Amino acid sequence: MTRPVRNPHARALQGHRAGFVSRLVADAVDLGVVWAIGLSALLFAGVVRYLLVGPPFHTPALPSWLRATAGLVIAVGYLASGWSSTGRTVGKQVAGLRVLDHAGRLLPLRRALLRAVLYVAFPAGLLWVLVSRRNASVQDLLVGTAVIYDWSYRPAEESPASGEARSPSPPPASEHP
Amino acid sequence: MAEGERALVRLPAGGTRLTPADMVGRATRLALGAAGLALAVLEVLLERPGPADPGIRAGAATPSGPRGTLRLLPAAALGLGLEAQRRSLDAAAAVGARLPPPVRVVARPAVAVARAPLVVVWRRLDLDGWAARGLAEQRRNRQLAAATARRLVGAIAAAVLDQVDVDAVVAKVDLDRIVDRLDLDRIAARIDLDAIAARIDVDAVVARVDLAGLTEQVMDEVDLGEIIRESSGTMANETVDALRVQGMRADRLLGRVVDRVLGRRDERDTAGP
Repeated sequence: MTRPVRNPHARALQGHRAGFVSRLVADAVDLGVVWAIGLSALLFAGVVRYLLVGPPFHTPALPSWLRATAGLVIAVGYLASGWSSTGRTVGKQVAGLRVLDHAGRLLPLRRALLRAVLYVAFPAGLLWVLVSRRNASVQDLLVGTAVIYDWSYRPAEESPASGEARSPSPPPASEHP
Repeated sequence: MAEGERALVRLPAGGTRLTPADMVGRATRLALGAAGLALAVLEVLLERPGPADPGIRAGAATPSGPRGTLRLLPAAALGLGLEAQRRSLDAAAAVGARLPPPVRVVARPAVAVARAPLVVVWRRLDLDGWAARGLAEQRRNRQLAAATARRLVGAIAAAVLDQVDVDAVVAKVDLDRIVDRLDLDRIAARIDLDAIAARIDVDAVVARVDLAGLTEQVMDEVDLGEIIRESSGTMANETVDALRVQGMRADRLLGRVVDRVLGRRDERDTAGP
């Protein structure tokens, strides 16, 4: 089901490449989600340990390298699964964004994983959106993706109506700094 | 007696042509029957327990004494007179049939007058017999008169109905006025609704209603999920939409600021894939 976009300004921008603020908001929300997932994992481990070993209840105290690695793995897994399945994570859902390749299709898992690894390894790549003429981040340029405004519930492949609203597929992104 | 009864009961059939003798006989009977009926009605009106139908009592028991004899006399005279008339008419008819037509007409009354006394002489003076015959005759006369009156009334009623335009009569009836005169409130007040309600078997009514099917039909018509989604999601959607719109505006504003800092003149190409 596609909810109609009432705001004329927003309706006109559907399918266009999103700017820095929207993407930052989406990433901030995603960061919170990743943190919540990590915390949930810790609590789950604590409950399992409590059930197996007994009181006192406490979350497992992981070494910092393991904690960081676990966090990165969670983030990569979360982002890649979201982008490859629906084209959006929770943060992009909140911000009304969707990640597509240059043909306007959802990312395959491998490309989604690559994009997620790149984002986790180099988050500052997002700043390139500020100066890019096509609102592309470093990761977008490297993987060949685009982040668009898309308030519809389903990606373009499943919802032809939202696809019609978009402009025809442009040639692959060429950066003009 | 039996022979006389048989002869008296004989009546011309409806379809055959009546002779003058038959017509005279019949007219006499009708007049006597009508007189008997009128007498009976008069007695009923006066509420006098008189001899309304003397034939019953006469047939049940033989009256005795001077009173009984006196009461028999009128009936006996009637029977005698009728028998005399009948015989006279028969004789006149028989003689008239043998005479040539002109003489036939003239001779008929003479034969009748001559024949009547002979009959009286031949009969012995049996008062009871003559009374019974008279009563039977009168009973028949009254039946004949009543039947004739019924036929007459029927014919008149049919003729009247043919003349009356019932539709016109109904059209003249002002139903509104009649309805106005009806006190419906009073009629309604007289209806005992509790008693009516008590007689209604609600369980049977409910048992006949396909509640499950009805509910299913209603649920099919009502998209409950859609209603819940709309009602619960509207506020959240509007908040999110507002946030998104603000993000879009901020995107454009920041982009322009950066472009201006970088000295770019033209707009960004944000067209998506």
